[in-house]
Amino acid sequence: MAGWMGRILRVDLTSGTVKEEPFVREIWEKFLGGRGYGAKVLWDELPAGLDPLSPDNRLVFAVGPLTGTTSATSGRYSVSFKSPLTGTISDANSGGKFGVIFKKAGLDALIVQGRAPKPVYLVISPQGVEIKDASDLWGKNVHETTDILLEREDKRGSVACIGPAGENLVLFSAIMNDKDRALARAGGGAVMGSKNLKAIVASGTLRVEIADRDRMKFVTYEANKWINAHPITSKGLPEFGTAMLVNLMNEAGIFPSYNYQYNQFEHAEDVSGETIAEKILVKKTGCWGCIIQCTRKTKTSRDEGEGPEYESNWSLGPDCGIHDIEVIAEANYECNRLGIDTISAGGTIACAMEMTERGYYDAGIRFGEKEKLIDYLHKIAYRDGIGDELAEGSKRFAEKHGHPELSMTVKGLELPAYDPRGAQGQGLAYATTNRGGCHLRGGFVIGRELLGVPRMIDRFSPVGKGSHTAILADFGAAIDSMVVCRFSTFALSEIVWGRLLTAVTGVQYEPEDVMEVGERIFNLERMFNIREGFSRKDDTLPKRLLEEPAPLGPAKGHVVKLDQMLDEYYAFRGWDKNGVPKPETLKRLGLEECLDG
Amino acid sequence: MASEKYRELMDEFKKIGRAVFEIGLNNSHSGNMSVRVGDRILITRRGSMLGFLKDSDIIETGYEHNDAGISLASTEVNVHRAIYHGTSALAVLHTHPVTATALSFVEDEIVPIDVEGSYYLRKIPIVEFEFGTGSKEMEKVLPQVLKNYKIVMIKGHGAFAIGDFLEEAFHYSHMLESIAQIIWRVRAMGVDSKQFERPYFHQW
Amino acid sequence: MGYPVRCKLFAGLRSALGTKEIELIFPEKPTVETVLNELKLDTKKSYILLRNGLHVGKDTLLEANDTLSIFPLVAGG
Repeated sequence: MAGWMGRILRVDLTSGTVKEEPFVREIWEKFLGGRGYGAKVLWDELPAGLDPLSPDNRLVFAVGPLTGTTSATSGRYSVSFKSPLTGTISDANSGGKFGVIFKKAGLDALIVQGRAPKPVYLVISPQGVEIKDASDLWGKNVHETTDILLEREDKRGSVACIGPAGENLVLFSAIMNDKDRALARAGGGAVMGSKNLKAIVASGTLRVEIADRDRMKFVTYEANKWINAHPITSKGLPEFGTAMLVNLMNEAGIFPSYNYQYNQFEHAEDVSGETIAEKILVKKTGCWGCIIQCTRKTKTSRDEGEGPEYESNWSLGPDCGIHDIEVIAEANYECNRLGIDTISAGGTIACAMEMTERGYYDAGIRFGEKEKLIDYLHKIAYRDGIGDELAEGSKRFAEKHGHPELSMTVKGLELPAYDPRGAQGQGLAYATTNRGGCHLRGGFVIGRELLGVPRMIDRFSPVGKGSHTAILADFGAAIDSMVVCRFSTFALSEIVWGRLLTAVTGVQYEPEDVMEVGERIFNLERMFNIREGFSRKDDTLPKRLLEEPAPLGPAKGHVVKLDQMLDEYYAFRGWDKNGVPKPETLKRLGLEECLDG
Repeated sequence: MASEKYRELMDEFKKIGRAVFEIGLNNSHSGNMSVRVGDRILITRRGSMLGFLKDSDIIETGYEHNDAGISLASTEVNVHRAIYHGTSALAVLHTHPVTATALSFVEDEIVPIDVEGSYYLRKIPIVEFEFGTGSKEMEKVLPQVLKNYKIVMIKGHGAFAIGDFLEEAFHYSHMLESIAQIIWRVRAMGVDSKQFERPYFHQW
Repeated sequence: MGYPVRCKLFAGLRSALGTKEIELIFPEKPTVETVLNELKLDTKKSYILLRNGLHVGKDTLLEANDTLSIFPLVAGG
C-alpha cells in the first residue's frame, strides 16, 4: 500500500489489551487521516453527552498519507478527542519528530480508550504496542519524562507525554512531544491524564511507500520551488519567526491587551519579534525535514528553551498587561515543561486579573504583576489554591463568580491574539470554529484581511466574509488531515496538495477533491457538535466584541457584525438558518450516516 | 441590479473589467465575469461592455436558481452557476484571449515554456464543444475540468478561469495569453517551441 | 511648510535602514511609492503598508503628518 501504512491499533487501557483495527481503505480515502480520521472515529464511537474525562472518551492519534514522505512540512501528527474544556469535538496537531516516527513504527492511527488502573506509558514500534508501568514517571515534568524514556526505550525514538498539568486534569493542559512541541488546545492533556496515560514512545524505521516516484519527484520539486520563492516561507518565518506579527497587529489596531479591554498595547515593541531577535534569540530550528525552520531557540538570563511564538507571547504578555520579554519567555518555557496550553493559560489568568481589578472577585493577581505569573502557572498545574478554580478555564471561573462576560472565550476556548473588531472575517472564524475560539480551525482569515496573502480583502467589511472563511476552514481541515503544516499554505495551494496526494497514494485527488475532503470533515465535526446540543446560539463571540466598540487606533469604534456574516456563512455552506447542515449538503458530501444523528 | 451592500465587489468588477479590456483579453462586448457571495451570484449583464461597466450592468441572482427576475444575466450564467456548484470557486472570469485561442486550434493542451508562466500554470487543458456558447455540454464538462485546473481553454472560443478573487482569475487569464504569445513568437522565428517544454508538465 | 510623513520601519528594514523611525518632509503630497523611493527601498519587493494603521497601496497619496508603517511580508501563529 502506498502513502498509508494500512495499520491501525486500538489500545484498551482498562483491560490492558491491544488489538488490530481493520484498515478500511474507503474511509481513509474519504477522510485522508489525521484530523479527518479522528473525526470519523469520534462520530462513530462517542455517544452524545459523554463525560470527556470518563474512560470512554477516545484519544485518536493519527497521521496521514503524506507523513514521513519528502512532502514539504509533512512531519506532523494529530490527536482527536472530545474536549473537556469545551464539550465539543476537538483535534490538535503538532510538529517536531513524533509524527514521522509514529508512521515509521508502521501505524496510521492509534485509538486509545479506557482508563489504566495505574499510570502507564505505551511503546509503539513495528512489533506493536507495549503497555508499561509509568509510576516512576508520574509527577515528572515533560522534559524529564522525555529524557528518561528516550534513554530507556530508544534514543532515536520520539516521546509524546503529559506534564503535571495533564496529570492533574487541568482542562487546558497539553500533550507535548519532543519536549517543546505542543499539541496544545482544548485539553488533550487532561484526557490523557484521565486515562492514567503518561506518555507514548514511538520507535521505528519503516519506510513509506510512494505510488509514483517519478511524479513525486517533480511535484516536490515544484512545491519546494514555491516555498523558497514566497517571502513568508522563505524569509519572514525563517528569519524572524511568528512573533514578527506583533508590531503589525498593533499598528493595525488588532493587538488585544488587558483581557481584550483594549485593541492595542502601548508596550508592543517590548514584546515584538524584533525585540526577541535582539534580546533572547539563540538560533532558529524547525520540525523534522522542514525547510521553513520557523522555531526560535531562545535564552534569558535565568532559563532557556523554545519560543515564545506569537500567540504565547501575547497571552502571557500583553493580554496580562506584561511586557517583560524575559519573564514571558520563561513563562512559556514553564508551560512547556508543565504541559499547558499557553493561549488558554494566559487568557484565564488575564480574566482572573480583570475580575480582581474590577473588585468582582479577588483572585490575588492584577494586570502587569509579572512576578506572580510563573507562580500562578504552577498553582494551575498543581490545582493549588486559586489554581484549582483557574484550572477549569476562564469560562467556568468567570461564571462561578457571576461575571461570564469577562471570559474571552467562544464555546469555552480562550481567544487568541487578533482582535476581530478590526478583522471582521476572523471574528466569524472564531464564532464558527468547531473546537471553539481558535485562529486556525475556523479559518486563518487574518492571512487575507491583514497579510494580503494571497490577496487583501477589506478587514472592516462583513460582506463576502462568509464565503472566504468557509473556504479557508475547509482547506485547513484537509491540511490537518494529511497532516502537514499550516505555514506551508502561504506558499502552496490545494493544486499542489492534490498532485502530492495523487503521487504518494496513487489515488486521483484533484484540487477540488482536496477541498471537498476538507468540507466533508468540517461538516462531520459540525454534526458531532450538533448532536452534543450546540447550535447557532453558540456560534457567537464574547459580549465585549459584539457590543463594546474598540477603543483605540485604526479599528476604533468598530464592533463585530456577526449576524450578517453568519447568515452568509450558513448560506454558503448549504446549512439552514440555525447552522444545521441541510440533508442535501450531507448527501453531497457522502455523510449519509449523519442524516438521522 | 446588485444591491448597494455589494458596493466593493461592484467596484472590483469595474476595475477588473477595465483591466481585462485594456490589455486586450476581450473585445468590446465579449467575455463575462461573476463572483459568489454566500448563496448569491453577481454576474455581468448580457451585452455589457466589460471595459465600461455601470452599476446597472451587474446583476444579482441566486446560487440555486435564477431569481434575477428578468433574464438580463449573461448568456453564460448557467455555466457560471454550474462552476460554482462543481467547485469551491468564489470568482469566474471568461475571456477571449486571441493568441491562446489561435493556439487552441493547433494543440491538444498548452504547456508554458517561459519561466513565469511555468511558475504559475504548468498545463492548460483544451476542451472542445460542438456548440459555442452557453450549452448544456459546457455546464457539464467545464466544472469537471476546473476541479483539476484553475483555467481551461475552449478550442476556438476562449478561456474560463476560476479563483477565490476576480483578481486571481484575471491573473491566470492574462498569464495564459502571455504564455501563448511567447510560444507563438518562438515558432514565428522558425524554432520549435516544444524543445523548451519541461516534459513532466504534460503529466501535471 | 512641506508635508511631513513619519515613517515607521519594522523587521529587517530596521537594520537595512539603520533606524526604527524617521520623519521625512516632502515639498508636495507624496505617494507611498515616493516615500519608499526616498527611503531607498526596493519598490519591486512586497511590503505591508499601513497609513495611520489602515492598509494602502503604493499609489496612495499621503497627507501631511501621516504615519506610514512599512513591514516586509511576514506571518504568525
